[in-house]
Amino acid sequence: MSQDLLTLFWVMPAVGGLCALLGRQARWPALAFSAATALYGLILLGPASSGAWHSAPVSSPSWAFGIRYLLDCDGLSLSLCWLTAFLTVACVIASWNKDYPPAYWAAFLFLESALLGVFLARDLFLFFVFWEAVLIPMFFIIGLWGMEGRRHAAMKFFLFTFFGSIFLLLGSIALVTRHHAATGVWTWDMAALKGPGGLAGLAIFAAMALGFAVKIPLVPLHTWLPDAHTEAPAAGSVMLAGVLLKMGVYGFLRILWPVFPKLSWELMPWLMLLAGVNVIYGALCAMAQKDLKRLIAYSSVAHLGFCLMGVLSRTPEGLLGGSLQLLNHGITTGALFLMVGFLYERGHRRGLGDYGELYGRAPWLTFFFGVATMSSVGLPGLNGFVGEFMSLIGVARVMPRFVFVGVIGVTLAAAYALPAFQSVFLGPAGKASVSAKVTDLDRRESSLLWALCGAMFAIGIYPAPLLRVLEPFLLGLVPAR
Amino acid sequence: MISLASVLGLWGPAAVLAGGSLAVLAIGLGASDEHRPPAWLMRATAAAAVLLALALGAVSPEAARPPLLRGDLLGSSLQAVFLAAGLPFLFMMDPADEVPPALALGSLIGMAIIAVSGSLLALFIGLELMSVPAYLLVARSRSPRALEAAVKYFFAGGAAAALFLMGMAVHFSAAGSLDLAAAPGRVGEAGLALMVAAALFKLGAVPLHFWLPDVYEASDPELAGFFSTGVKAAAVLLLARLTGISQGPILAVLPWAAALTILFGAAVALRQTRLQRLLAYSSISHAGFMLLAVAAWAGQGRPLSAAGAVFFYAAAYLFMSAGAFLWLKVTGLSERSELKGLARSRPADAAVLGVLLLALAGIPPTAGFVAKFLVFWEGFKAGIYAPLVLAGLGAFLSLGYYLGMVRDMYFDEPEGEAAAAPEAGMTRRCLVSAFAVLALLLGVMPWLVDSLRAGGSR
Repeated sequence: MSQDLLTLFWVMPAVGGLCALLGRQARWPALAFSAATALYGLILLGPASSGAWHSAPVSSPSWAFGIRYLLDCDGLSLSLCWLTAFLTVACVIASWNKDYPPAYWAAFLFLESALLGVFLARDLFLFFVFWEAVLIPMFFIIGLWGMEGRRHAAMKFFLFTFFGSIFLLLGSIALVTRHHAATGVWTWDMAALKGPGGLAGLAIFAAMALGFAVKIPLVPLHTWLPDAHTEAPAAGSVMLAGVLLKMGVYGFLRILWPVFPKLSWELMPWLMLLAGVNVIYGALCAMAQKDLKRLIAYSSVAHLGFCLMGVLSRTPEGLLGGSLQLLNHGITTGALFLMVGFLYERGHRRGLGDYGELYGRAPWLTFFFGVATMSSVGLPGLNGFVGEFMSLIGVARVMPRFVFVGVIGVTLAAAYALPAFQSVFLGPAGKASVSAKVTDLDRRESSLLWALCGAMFAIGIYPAPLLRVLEPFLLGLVPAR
Repeated sequence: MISLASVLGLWGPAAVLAGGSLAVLAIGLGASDEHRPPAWLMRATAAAAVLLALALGAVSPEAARPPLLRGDLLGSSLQAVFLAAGLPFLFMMDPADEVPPALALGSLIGMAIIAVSGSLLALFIGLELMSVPAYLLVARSRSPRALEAAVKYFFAGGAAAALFLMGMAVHFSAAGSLDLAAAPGRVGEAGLALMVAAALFKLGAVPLHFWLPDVYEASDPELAGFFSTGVKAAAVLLLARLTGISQGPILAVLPWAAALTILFGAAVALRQTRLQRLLAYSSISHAGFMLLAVAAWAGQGRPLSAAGAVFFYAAAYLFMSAGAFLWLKVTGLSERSELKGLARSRPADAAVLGVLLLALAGIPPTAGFVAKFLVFWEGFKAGIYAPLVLAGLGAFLSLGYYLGMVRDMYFDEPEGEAAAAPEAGMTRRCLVSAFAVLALLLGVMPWLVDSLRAGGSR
């Protein structure tokens, strides 16, 4: 019964997608179904937080080889589902008065459906199917409605992820067959699988981690990200940065940690090093960017490195902080990409030097962009601070030296984000400036940003309720020491 | 005591096909030059024979009539695949006279004999019966280079037949019989190697693939689709029968030959500009996957449960590949550059090919993904890890052209004037769309395939 409730959760947007494809006024079903899905997600909080599903997921019969249709929803899944559902609504509203064909709206709903499936699936095979299904709508969103370089960026996005996915699939099959060899049970249940030790375990871990690392993305597998984020339409960038990147860290949390509790702990220093490289390298790259969208894209590389550092520490603070930072990054970067989209609609430029002195012409845009920038930098009182601070506490408890990496990363964040904000909104307008074309946000746009910035303040000031939602699964990952 | 059911199951399909072939010839010969019999009559007769053969093949899959014939579940399953592959070919061809349908049925007779053969002699007869009509069918294709390709096909096929015969002789010298049983010693293994080489020739495995692209390109698209699905399924079956003879070094070579085939086919297909040639190279890559499935099955000691991967791959590939070749026939496109901007000028055609391409690439939720997954799954159980990783890389490479074609269709502007769609019949278009739907449906509900074959093996 409860599985059916969750099935409804991911099927609802898919049905909406079909309605949007068939109907003439596609934006209305898109809005209706995405909003209904988001509200439905809120209702699910009750049963999810009471642990009704987590304790005993209803088992369905196996199709073959122990593959089952297995869904479950705990705090981590639920919060990421919320992020997916609300960002989809935001994307629909943000593209509202554009003249897009039905396929555009349908693609976003199919994307939402697949993403919800990724976060709800508890069967490794089912997870993989949803994981791959995410690629198809995103491929078309980038390729059909993106910027000039969309053709190339869409291919690059798909090929990179698919490359990782092959190893993820091979690793999963190896894991399941090894598990069967050890226990005599065929199962793909994430909670039941236990990875082997020794070289085989290391190989399986590496293969699956490679699949997740492409998505996060870990340097040097990140080169698809700046292209995809820059060339995607504004709403596509929101979903890419807001939700798709989270799938990688989620994979580490949901699959690799429980399946390889010992091995992942032994490999922690090495993974921490990779995450640290992400933080520094992403920030340095962001400093060098002249394109606003590209700058935010590289900042995502740095921020996701931060999330991973916290999650890697496997302390309560680190796990909660890293996961919270996943949500924060989704909200903040989502808002930033939306605003760059609004700016681009008005000025048709994205360069840092193309604008200036916007604070007089567009005070609300300036205000919201300022809030989101401060959240991205980690100003206390906003959501980014809570996540980063907790992650750093977690890191400090296991590998104190890496706190310096984190602190340098935070400093560098200020060094790329603030000058960008200054040159676009506060600084003098250059000769080639197109600031004159920029008008302030209309009511639709500003109400959207009020909601997102409200979430930033809410989490920044009082994160406890959200942390309580996240706690149950994450605290189970803390190794006994 | 031999029951009626087993006689029907063993002889029935071949007999019905032969009867159908003669009936088609009789219809053609009985007509005068002024009053040609309608094409649909010949087609319907041939299709009826195939359908009846399909039904009879499912009667009694596990029957034996030693020493020549022995049916089993794998044989009857793959028989269902290649008989089903014959149907769209018969439906799509434009017969000028009675000969092509009769030849197609003749080729199917050979395959049906391979399906029930219990000795090397029957295998050889089936192989030749299958191949000789195929040469003639190529020669009768419309392409100006059809005759050249037919001759090439004939010589390559002749070489394969010679290899097989030599292998049989060597095997006989060691084993003293032509049964499908292991021959002792190195001599027996050498004989087997020759016969396996012949099967790989037919399958188009690297490096014995060189004849294949030319033949597929010069054939009519529907014929190439039949070759890539029907003849390949029969060659897979031939190979599967041969692996029963040996547990020796040949089995260790097969996974590597498969990995090489997958990688080579995909890498060369990347550079092709003509669609039919591209699909030909991609079919080499897919043949590698089927070979890998056979190798994984044989490596586990040939359990029936592991044969599911062989069968599913052949069945899924039937829909994807035949669908893609028939799409070429229906739309009349031949150059890859003509795909550019197709989604704008002919959205329905583009959508159908898009689904087929994603299925060929093996992206979930399509039949191609389940097929590849099953191959990987059985491969892991057989312990052939390194070839599997290479196969995975081959699948990645193949994305370059499958997805590249989707990109061309959807993200590019049309080059020059959009070519007008040819006047293909509505039913033909529906058939191609049905293949795309099936390629999608079998990915969502893979167990449907189980109802296609005579019995479940799981």
